[in-house]
Amino acid sequence: MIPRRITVPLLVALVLHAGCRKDEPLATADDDAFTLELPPGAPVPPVPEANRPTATRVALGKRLFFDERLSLGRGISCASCHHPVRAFSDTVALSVGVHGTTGFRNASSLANVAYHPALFRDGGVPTLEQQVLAPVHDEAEMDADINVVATQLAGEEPYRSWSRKAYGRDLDPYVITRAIACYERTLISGWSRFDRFRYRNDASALTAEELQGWTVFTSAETNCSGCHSGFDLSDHDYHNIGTSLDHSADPGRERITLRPEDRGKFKTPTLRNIALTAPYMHDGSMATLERVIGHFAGGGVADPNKSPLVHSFTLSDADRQALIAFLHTLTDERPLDRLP
Amino acid sequence: MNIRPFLLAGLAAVALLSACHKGSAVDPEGQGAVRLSVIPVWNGAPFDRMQVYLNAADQREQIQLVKFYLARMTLVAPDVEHELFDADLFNITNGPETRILPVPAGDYQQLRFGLGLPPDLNHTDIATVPVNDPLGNNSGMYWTWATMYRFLLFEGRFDNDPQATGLLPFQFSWHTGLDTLYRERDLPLALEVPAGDTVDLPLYVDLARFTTDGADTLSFADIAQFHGEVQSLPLGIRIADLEQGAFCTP
Repeated sequence: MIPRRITVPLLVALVLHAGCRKDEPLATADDDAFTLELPPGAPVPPVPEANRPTATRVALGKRLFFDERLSLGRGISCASCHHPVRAFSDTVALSVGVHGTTGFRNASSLANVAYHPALFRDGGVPTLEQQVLAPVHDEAEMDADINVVATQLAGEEPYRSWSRKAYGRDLDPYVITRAIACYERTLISGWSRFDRFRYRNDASALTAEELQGWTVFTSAETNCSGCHSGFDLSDHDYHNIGTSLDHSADPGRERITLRPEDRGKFKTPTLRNIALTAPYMHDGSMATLERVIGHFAGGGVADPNKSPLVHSFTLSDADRQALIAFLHTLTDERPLDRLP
Repeated sequence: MNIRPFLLAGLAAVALLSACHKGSAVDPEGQGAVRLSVIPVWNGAPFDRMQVYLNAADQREQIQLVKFYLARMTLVAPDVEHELFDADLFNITNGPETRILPVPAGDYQQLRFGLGLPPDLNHTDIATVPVNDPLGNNSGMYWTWATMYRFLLFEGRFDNDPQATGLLPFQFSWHTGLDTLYRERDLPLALEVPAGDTVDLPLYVDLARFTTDGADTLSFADIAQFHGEVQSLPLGIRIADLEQGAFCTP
């Protein structure tokens, strides 16, 4: 084998050269600029230098995201389990794949996925680009071969021209993974009533009950904001919250780190658009927000790995309703995807 | 023109270079090659995939797939090392696989390599690799859930009844991966590679030793399936350790 450190740049150069036809100039920053509109308070999301967004890259990624031909049998797209109207999450506990079987985890919302330092609920995938491959190849999801997908789509317009303009090469696994990641990074949530209150100094954005819910949310008693913190309302860390003592079906973060102390730990999900993303928890086992609050109020099961941040508390009915009312204010008032 | 000073300088240079070579087992200016053959055997005898073997756990065993990565394959001389390749994929199900690899002429005394992929290669972004590269998508070795590679695919059928005949009723499938199951091996060698010549470098893989090293014996009845599950990791570690012991040079 020729060392990859030589072959990869060489092949990339050859592909770039081959893709450079005189009548199809490569994209430049000037004619293909893309500006991500960030809501007030939103930090600038990290973007890989090699995959900075352009208008064509994002448009290409969006088209691929909704293309069911990414799956075997051509029946499932990324959007099949990440519905735009549900903040890019699914409506069922476990999504159904091309063979009618289910996965073993609830499909996460993609809102603000650009801010995630690692992907999947166990953090096993380091970049959005690499994440794209997983559902495409997973037998329980799309069960396709990304090479076959790329070959089938590469000659078709607008894939052919957009791919060349976006990445200077024909559609291939590199382009598919980069473009979809580019699109997913545009799904910024930060346009809720809560954001108007919190980041735009609009005191009238929340009702008195919702403000009471915010107080409950940030109180030492419930300590919701101990993990659901920051702009994304997630610390993006991994916690065992005591949902079960049986981790045989899913060891959580331990699956990646192989450390027993990580057994049953999952990444804190964002609470943005939480009213749209039921059912809840890593396995979709809790159908309602009332059920989730009930779980935390009970303190969870006595798992040795359970986070010390999770402890039982008592809520009055009024505070419970106020907390739920507050959580409903986290729903964006405009679509996450505002692209044409 | 008086050529004497040039002649003397040339002779001195030759003498100096000769002196340098005397202290080294490797001639960096003389290029040879090795014909690396990865050869499957069963208890030292040629392996036949159609054969039903009796393994150390008294099970009838028929192997249907043996595919693995070898990494950082390196020839070691007393004063120098030469890496033959950083990673390559071998499928020895149907017999030996051979690579002809350039190497500086010299006397090598050790073969060092990894079983699987070291972490820096194991975490490669597969979409950046040409599809037909050993680490590319067509390898069929990628675990997307972990964004890492499988190191070994060892599959076949077995029967717990050693006296039975006919079809083997059960399937086994051992797939190792994950950084923690990467293993390295050093094997003694007596390999002289002359400049301009290609010499054989056989590397034997005793498939009978995938289930036993004499002291530790794994039964397919205990673990017929391993796919990196953390719950079965102790068994996965034993599989990786046994595989490590299955390699030998003549």
